[in-house]
Amino acid sequence: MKQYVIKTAAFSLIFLLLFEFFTICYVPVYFEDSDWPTTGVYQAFYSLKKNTVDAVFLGSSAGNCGFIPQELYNQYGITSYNLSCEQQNLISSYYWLRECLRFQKPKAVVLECKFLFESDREKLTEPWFRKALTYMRWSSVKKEAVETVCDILPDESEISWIIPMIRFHSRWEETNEAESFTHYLSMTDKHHLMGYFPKFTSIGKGAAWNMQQNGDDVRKANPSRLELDYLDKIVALCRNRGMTLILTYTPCEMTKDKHVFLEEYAEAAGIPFIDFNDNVVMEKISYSVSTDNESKWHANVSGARKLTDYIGEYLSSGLAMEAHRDSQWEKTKNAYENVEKDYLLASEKEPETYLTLLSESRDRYIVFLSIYAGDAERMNDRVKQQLTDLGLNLPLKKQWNQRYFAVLTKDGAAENEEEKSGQKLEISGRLAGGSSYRMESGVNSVIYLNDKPYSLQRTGLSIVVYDTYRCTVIDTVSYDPKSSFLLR
Amino acid sequence: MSLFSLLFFCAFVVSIGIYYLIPKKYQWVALLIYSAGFFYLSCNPATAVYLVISVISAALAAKMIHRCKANENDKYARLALITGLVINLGILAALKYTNFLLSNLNSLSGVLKVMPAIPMTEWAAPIGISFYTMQIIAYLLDVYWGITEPQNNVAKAALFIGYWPQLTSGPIARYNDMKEQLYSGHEFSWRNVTFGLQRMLWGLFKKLVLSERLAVMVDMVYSDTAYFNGIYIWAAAVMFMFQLYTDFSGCMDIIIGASECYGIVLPENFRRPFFSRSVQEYWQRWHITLGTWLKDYVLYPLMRTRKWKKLIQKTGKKFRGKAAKQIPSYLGMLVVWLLIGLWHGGDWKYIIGMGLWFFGCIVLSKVLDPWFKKAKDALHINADNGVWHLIQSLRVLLLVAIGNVFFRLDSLEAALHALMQGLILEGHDSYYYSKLWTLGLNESNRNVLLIGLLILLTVSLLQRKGSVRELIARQNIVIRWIIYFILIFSVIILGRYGPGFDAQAFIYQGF
Amino acid sequence: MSRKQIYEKLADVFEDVFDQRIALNDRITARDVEGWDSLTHIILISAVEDEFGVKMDMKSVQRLTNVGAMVDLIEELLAK
Repeated sequence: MKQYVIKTAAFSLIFLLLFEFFTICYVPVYFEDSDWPTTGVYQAFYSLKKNTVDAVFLGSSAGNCGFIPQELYNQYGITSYNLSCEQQNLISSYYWLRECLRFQKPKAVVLECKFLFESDREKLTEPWFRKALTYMRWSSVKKEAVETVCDILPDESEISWIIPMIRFHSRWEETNEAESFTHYLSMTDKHHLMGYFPKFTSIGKGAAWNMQQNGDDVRKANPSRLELDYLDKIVALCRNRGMTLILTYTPCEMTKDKHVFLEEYAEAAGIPFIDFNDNVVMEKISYSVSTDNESKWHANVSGARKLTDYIGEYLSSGLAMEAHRDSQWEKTKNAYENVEKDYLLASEKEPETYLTLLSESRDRYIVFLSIYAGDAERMNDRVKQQLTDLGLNLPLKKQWNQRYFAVLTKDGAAENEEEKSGQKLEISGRLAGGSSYRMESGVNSVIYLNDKPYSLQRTGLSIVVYDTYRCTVIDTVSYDPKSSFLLR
Repeated sequence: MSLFSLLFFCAFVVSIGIYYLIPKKYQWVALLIYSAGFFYLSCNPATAVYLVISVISAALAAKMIHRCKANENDKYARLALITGLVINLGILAALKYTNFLLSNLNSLSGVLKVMPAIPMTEWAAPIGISFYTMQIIAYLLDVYWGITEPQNNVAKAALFIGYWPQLTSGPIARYNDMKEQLYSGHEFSWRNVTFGLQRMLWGLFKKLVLSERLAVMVDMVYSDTAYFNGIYIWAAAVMFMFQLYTDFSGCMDIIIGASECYGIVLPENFRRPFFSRSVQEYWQRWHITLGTWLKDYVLYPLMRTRKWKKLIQKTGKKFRGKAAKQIPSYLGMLVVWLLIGLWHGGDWKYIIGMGLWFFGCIVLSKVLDPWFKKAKDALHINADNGVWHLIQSLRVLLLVAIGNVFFRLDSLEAALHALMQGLILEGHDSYYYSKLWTLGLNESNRNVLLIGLLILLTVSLLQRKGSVRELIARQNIVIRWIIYFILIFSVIILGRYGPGFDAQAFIYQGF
Repeated sequence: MSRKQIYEKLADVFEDVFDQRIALNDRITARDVEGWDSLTHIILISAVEDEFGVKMDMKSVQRLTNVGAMVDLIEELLAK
């Protein structure tokens, strides 16, 4: 009899291990190298010590890239965590707040509430709920959340949330198990920004103007009934626990009606509402949409600093939240410093300064370079010297229409050149962490990372900068020696 | 309660645990409770009243028959028998065939304009009624013929009739084969439980990995027979046979495997049917318990009645030769085949497609047999030749596939139309043929299907020599466990269950 | 009737039903005779009943596994 028990136990153990392996392979995960690092954000949240968070941010992707907990700590000594994620509707926000309260006792909750007005049913779909809620650990809170989702979406089954394999096993068709598993292992603890996800580009004046035009359009604010219910629940929950709820709206295509609705709602509920689209507020923080927004919904690093600063001011003087030291936020200072350097780099227009910044962080970067020999010759000496310091072998040997590829790492450079005109050159390889790169020559040569094209496909010098810490592309520029500025 | 749900599996595992923990003499009570629970969760519980009536009438009738026979009172024995049969057949006929009768009456009265159309009924039938009714009939006749003694305990009789693994789709068992196993209780046997689970796993593989994929291809063709005409029709017909086989026999594997875990052996329903050399042999290997039931409880009793024997004498006088002797048996067969057709459902398509078509195939092959033999001798074909066997199997497959087109499609007209479409064999370009290789599946899925069918073929070939589970059990533990894990994860990962769409729907839109 | 006589008569019946002369012994089963399937089996039974003037009941018919069992049964019925 004993041998049966042992056999059964061993068999079950192996089964569970294999099952876990395949679950990791097939359940979609989102880390720093995705569009939004939702999985990483929530994994890192659970690794915090209990009751160390003073304030928590919730909301959609606008919140994810709009508020920087490290800034809040660095400038005001307030510890916070950003639990926003892409397409997080108010239902998910509510349940994440409940989940947060199982581990933390924040005094303030900052809720970015764009989704209140996402009233079309398109937004209440399975993928968005799954993205927001899959990485919540199983508990009575998650059980309730799953039941709610199953009520809203009739096709959902609870069992497919308890055992995600039931939902995702069909992904075997498009998944390479070895790649998927190693990707998971290598990316799983790479989020050190306390829930913040930086955006580095800016939309420019034209798009900014468009945004403002659309914003003035007086449209009827149509809050979704369901979302409003959950906003009420969030308000009630905060009131019951003695937390201050602050409603916010980050800079975007805001309409008057929405503003009025939220203002009235906030007043009736007795909670503050900070509309960052309000001119007075914008002026106070010197916010300029053309340089501080990355898109019509999202702030970039510069914008996020300003938004965070305003919140910090509000929390510390308005709510009298005290500054204090916490080793967890001390440890992550370095990660944020890197992000600040990355932003500087990504917004630099002057080539020589750019290359200086590049070389300062070259331990962390992998730089992909593509250049015509002729264009290399036309660059000024200072630039040539900087490129040589980075590892590129100048002067380039061949004729003016030869293309050169280089992959510059902290260990040195790997170079290749186009052999003859007309013959296509391609180099490819793998980076630590599993990403693949490929560079193809042609009239406009292309640099691919994970099969996504990153270079600007113009002539001249193309640079793609890859951060090995966050395993993501920081910047892609092109430089034509004839002009004096970098193009993005 | 679906046999393919996680809930079922968890409940089943628990049931095994409880079963072996309680004393052997009460194990049958546990099985009865499980069966009641299964019934309750599988259909409208209100229909239990029919099952209860069937059980009580069968138990009482059997007792009566036995007692009357013991007292040499044949007349009352027969009366008890007829009463039991009428009640049970009556319920079955009323619940399952009333609409068939009504629709035919309506068509007739529509033509004759005698009376207005009678609306169809919507009476719910309890799960397994077709199967347990047949089991009851077999039981009553066996008691009447003295083949077995009746079960005097009504609860035990209820277990025999409503034993849960048999409730969804049989197999149809004989009381003699079941009585020892059901009531005597079983010691825990590691082999029974592990072999039973392995068999269930195999059944899941056939159903979820193979059958569901074949269904995609078959459905695609039949959804548009105007476009998918010609060779597609034949391909779909053949693929449907494999779909039906993997589905039905997979179901049987789960059922028989589950029962095996309790230590109770149910009769087999399939025995490598596609290895048959003739349509007649096919029906001895496909849905075996249905065939033997019809043989023992319809064909033989029928052909031994006095009226039938008079018929034999009459035809013996009218016709000469071997064929003459066969005619009465052909008539007997006709009755059997009409019943097979009708048993599949109350619709003309079943009677014609599943009944008359196969009857025709078998009779024709018997009549043409001497000519076939002459041709074989002339061509010097060795009957044991593997290639010849393959040709015969393909012929059987095609004939059976045609009959089952009627099973698959919704109506007689639809089936005939599809078959006509199948005759459009010209006027197609190469693009038309290009879809034949995937037919609704993408390449990965098609490859999985092909490999799976190869595995199925290999297992079937191995099974001719003996039990494959035994074969595996003789290997060392590493190989055994590798095989089990491959099978388990094939089902979990490759099985087509759960929300049908894949996670490519996770597209970040627009923000 | 002796067992040998039964065998001789039985051989005639077999020839009639199966259109071929078969050398019968106790161990012969349906598998050994071409054309002996479940259909012809029942015709055979009827023919045997007619030829020997006996009536086999369903219980006995189901227990017939080979020719030897059939001959035993005929003997038993004739003795009654």
